[in-house]
Amino acid sequence: MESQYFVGVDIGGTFADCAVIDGASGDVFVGKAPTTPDDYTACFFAALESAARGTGLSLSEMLGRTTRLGHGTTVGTNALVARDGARVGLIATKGHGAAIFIADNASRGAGVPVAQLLHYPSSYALRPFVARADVREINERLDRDGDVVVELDEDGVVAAAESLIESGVESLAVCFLWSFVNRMHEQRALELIRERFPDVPVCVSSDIAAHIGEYPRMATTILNAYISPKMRSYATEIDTRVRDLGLRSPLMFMQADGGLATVDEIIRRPIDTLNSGPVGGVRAAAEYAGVAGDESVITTDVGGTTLDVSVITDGSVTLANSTMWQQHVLMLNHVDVQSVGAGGGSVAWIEATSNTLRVGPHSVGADPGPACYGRGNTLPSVTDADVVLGFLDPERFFGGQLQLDRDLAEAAIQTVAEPLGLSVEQAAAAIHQVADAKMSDLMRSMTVRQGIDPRRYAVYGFGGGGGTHASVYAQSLGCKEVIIPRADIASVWSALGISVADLTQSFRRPVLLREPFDVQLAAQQLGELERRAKEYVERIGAHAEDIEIRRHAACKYGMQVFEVVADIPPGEITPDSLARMSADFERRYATTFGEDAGYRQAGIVITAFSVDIIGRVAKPQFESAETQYRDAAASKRRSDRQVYWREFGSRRDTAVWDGEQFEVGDRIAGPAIAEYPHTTLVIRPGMEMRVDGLGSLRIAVPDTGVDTK
Amino acid sequence: MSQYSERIRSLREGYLPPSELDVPASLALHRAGDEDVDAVTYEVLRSRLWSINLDHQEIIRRMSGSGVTVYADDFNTAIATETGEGVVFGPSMQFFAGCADAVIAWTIEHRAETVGIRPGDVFIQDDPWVGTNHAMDTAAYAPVFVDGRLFCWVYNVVHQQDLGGVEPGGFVQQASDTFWEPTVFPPTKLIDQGVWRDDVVDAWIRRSRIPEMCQLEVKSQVAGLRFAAAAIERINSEYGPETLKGVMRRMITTTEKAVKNRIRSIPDGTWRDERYIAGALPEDRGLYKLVLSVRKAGDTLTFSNEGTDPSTGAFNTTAPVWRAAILNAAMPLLAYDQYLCGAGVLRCMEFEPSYGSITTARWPAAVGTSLGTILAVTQAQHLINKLISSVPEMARNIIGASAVHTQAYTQVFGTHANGEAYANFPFDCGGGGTGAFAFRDGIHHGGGIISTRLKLGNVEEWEQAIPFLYLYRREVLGGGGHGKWRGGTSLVSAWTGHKLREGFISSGGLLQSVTQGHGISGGYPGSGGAFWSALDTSIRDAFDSGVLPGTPEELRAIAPHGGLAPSKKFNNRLGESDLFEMKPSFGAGHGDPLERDLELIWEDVRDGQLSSTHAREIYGAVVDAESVDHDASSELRLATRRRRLEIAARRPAETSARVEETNDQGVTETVALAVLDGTEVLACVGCGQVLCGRRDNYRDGCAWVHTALNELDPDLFTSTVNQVDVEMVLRQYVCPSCARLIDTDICPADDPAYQDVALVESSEREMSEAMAAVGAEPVRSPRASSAT
Repeated sequence: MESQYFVGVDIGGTFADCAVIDGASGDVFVGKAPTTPDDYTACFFAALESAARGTGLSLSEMLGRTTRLGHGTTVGTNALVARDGARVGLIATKGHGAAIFIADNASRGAGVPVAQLLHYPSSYALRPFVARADVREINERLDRDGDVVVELDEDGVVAAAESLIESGVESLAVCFLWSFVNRMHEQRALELIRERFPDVPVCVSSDIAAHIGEYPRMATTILNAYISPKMRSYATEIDTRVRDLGLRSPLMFMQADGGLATVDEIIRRPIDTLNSGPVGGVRAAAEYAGVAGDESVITTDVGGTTLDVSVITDGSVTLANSTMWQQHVLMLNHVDVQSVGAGGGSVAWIEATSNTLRVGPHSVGADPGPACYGRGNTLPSVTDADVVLGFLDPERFFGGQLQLDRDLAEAAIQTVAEPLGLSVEQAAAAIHQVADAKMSDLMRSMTVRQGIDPRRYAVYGFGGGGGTHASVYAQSLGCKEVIIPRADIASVWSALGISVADLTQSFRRPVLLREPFDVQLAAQQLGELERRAKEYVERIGAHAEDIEIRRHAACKYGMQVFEVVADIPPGEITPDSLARMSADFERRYATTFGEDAGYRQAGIVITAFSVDIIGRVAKPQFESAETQYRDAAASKRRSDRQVYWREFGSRRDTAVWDGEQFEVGDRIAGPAIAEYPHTTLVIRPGMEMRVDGLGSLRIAVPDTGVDTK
Repeated sequence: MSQYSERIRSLREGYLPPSELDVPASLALHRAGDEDVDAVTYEVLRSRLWSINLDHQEIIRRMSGSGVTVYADDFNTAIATETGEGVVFGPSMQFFAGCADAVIAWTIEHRAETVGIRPGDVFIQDDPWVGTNHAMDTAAYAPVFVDGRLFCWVYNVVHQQDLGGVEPGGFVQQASDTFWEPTVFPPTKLIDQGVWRDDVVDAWIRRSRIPEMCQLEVKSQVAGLRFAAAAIERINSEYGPETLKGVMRRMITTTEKAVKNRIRSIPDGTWRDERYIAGALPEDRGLYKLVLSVRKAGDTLTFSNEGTDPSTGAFNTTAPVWRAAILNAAMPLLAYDQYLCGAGVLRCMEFEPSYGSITTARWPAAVGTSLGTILAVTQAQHLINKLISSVPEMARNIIGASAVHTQAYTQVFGTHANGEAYANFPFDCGGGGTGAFAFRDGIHHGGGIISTRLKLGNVEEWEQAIPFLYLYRREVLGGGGHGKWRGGTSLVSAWTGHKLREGFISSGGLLQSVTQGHGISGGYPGSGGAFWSALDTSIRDAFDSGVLPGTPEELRAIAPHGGLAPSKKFNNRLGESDLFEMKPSFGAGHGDPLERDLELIWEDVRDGQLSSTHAREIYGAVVDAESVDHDASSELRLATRRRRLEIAARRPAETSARVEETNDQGVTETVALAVLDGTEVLACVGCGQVLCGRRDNYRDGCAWVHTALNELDPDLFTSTVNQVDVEMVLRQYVCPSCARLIDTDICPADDPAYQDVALVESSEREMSEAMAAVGAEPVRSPRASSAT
């Protein structure tokens, strides 16, 4: 039987990555192509071609055998960053079109760094994606029950759309109050506009973000409309070409929630791709951790400007439903990935009043890059510290493609060393220590304060800087092990995650049911959602998918605000099934917020029902070899070099290993350096690294390290 | 030992921590701290403390799940040294954290010996005279010990939803003394060496109408404390307590040093703000005076409220809260880069309260409405703005009067259609713009400084809880105060009752016609907003005919009989045919509008942020749909200046003296120091016109232009005679030569001009400089003094 392939393509800022997994053998083929920002379709296909070469097949042959083609795109995100999306017109309920500008009176501080938050003169209100002149208000009003207070002014809707489109608007967003309870007015407006202007994208808020809260719902809908035309043309073009090339399964796009969606869905809701970039990596980590037997994992991705962290508990990624984007609050189901401004390019500087060292949040960026790149920047960064300390070999950086200048790195570090009265090496070690501490603080926040004990988690390290910093922040949190998964495929890790992700789709309906629940009403509303879900499954055709349907209720205690999603047992809705749902809610609330945190006396309130579809694909198998550990052969060792270890306070001759030569079962003791083309692994004194049966690098982290003083 | 008489005195007067705490011998303090900690450890631990404090907030949010905490952010956390000095505050309600040191110091002085302060203890308190805004604002705090010595404190304050008092929620607008309000608890031990005291828990929650919720709030506070204490203990075991204490001390001294450097650059003298407020009680038409002065000498600021009217009605605050309010204003203006280290700022300040006045009320005055606290913050913000306006570099940090400067309340209560009672507090009254800055416009809907985030909540969220409909929540385009730089605008919301048996809404808070949104350096005031109401309207007919009145104009068209809502009435009817509208405070302007860039004015007109009439009359700009006419505008601006002098209500005696050059050191942004014939004088920055001698009142050397407030813009400003007995005017102090706007007051027309800046004689200044040069600091306490 011929091989079936799982293919993922992830387009990042510098490279388009492609991972192709042979479903039977678990072999992974890697493809890469430089990113082509003027036309992302070019690098999409170039990366596919590049991977196809590895399989020994033509692109067409490979696609013909592809069970799953998943794609993570930043087309939408880029349009929002560059602000070159469509001109959006907003149609809103009379009296409420300004919700996007008022923005809950809090956009000044929404998601901004604390220094800006505390200095009012350097902070600003959000910069909206719709102009005040492009807002039209319509006579129509529903109340909280969805009852009509004022009928929809249909002529007004048409006139508003006409005047907006005549004035040059390219895409429309419709957001009426309470539309998430009763879609009637929005759907009618949609029909009226479509009849008249079939080619203009129209996004209605009850489709995009069916949640209570007109401001974030409106914001999400406007941003969706803003990127809609770009995404539509991009997705359509890719879809047409891959079909022409012979793909028989549906093309899927990565969503921020870690699941895949069909082309139709992604054209309707392109906002779901926002920030889906880091999610592929988290998805891959979750899948991989399952195979490797690491049940609970903190994933860390050290990039050029930030550290991105997410938490996987017992195999499940952590989801959140609200996020900030350029000071907008959005309703978006997404994998909770949090960032702190500490990466390779983070700038080290001296805070004058206290004469102390700070690192970040500013970054030197990819261009000109750190001082050691020799492109004119003279500010010291974490990467310069890496060079000075000897962690990075100036000759072999980025597989030798980029020659680093150690003198420039030293000169840059000298600017902070001098005021602190430190040697250049001490200052470089200090920059590391401060950056590592910022990383640990974020990870501590994401675990300890959520009631999670990080000591039972392993740390997965990705990104160019993961191997350099992970063992330090892991130790600071008390984590026992650092894992750098499969160094050979680490550079397409995100694409790998995309290729094996499940299809997900959620159907949601806000309700307001208080105890004792109205069983008949609950059954009716859930039934409606299930009907829509089943229609969807039929529409997409369940290619190779094992479709699972789950029912949930978002519940909270009366007088409290936090919701927790509880499972509704399968089968008929009865007083007993709702009682079991309530019990599940209470258990989850206690787990999440602490025992006795619930205000039980106020009763349970159901705020929404949801029916979630998960279309699972049979996952490729990764075989773990039986492993006997032994010291790595000396032949894999490159010449030693002098590395500054802050544990010793001095430079030491340190073994440097060629990571590409490691084999399953190899073991080396720190202090040591293992070099790969795109990353460098630092094994600190007192630590030991092993190559496990899957080919991943595992560093055992001692309980109390020299670092914790 | 805590003397009964001293303890009771502090609870009657209001407590300010003394420079040296009276610490009983039985309480061993951990004093040792290695301030020479290396730069890296300092930064690592400074960042960790900040992070612990934020996590402490998150624990409270998650566990309490209360809307007041989660949506309104009406709480805060702090880490303090062994004697209570605030090392780091959270970014939520700022004046909460400023009370922390007073509360901890009081506890050490008056509880250590008899009640005891031991490992595992937790205290709780809500006594405004010890240090909390009102009884709902509950402080919970715990000592952290190292080897039997008191190392530091972790602290939080949460606005608990109900702790009794005659009105649900405790904001008793009609309170004439504190006995109308929730009963207060001075510091009380809640947990004794790890064991909850059920007697105290029961006593605490027994006052509440929602005791279970109250208990949950208390538990969330304790959970937060335990988290923070454990995190501190972990640092101590990793780094050693001397190191952490050294970092704490250095954080404080770093902030102290930064703020003192800034203060030193200001000329020595006394700055003063006098203003009028109204709204002590329902139906009260009285006008009351609020005074705040600051004496700047060397690197110290000494604040006094002498001259403030005696406490009255329901809008007072206590001395420790007055002090916290001043700290609240000083942090964003003088210490914006110091990550909310309150103690460092307090070390640069002294306080001389005049006890028994509105801002430093004695027990048993009513202090439950928060109005006194917010007034104190607003006044301190204005005063410190003026103080730093003397130094151009620091003037860039000015924040004009912002959201909630003239606090109003719209509490609602009534009965749902199903017969269930409801009571709630939509936060639209907390919305508003940020005032203008010295170099750019303010921020529309940007909030104010009492908290770094003043959220409103969504219309749908409020409608879900309250049986009413928002007819609109709109921007008031161009509502911010005029000036060279304009204040941020605010919103306007209107409601009608919906699906209810009966409903009511309050027109509570300060009387908005007497705005507290004073402009800076000649900038125009921001409106205090207004209530409007109409009963028995045809709104339902409008709905039935398919029309939603979605603008203030349309609402007034269907209810021409509507008008200004009664002052401070707690039960304005809001049934299905009734209408109620509220506008909260608007950001104030900065500088003379005649100096605003003409292109910006054209953009304002184009974007609907300014009418072409106001462009002409206030800005002297001739604008049409296409462009702004620069030549015609120049002429109009000259004519407008001439007219200011023609219509002046008062002009100074003729003077032609003018200086060629002024000192770099300003007195304010608009008044400079200069030398004329060997004598130091104050002169107009615009033209060099001499206004007065160095120590005199420059306002007496100005022309005064009076304008009734509602003439500025009848849509935004209400005539004060509708609410108080006196007509108030905007008084503009104008250069008698170039007619530049120099400063403003809002006062009765016949008021004299108080002296807002009084510089010390240069000889005195030189002497103090000479003393500083030889290192002879004036003798003073490192912390607040408890004067009088």
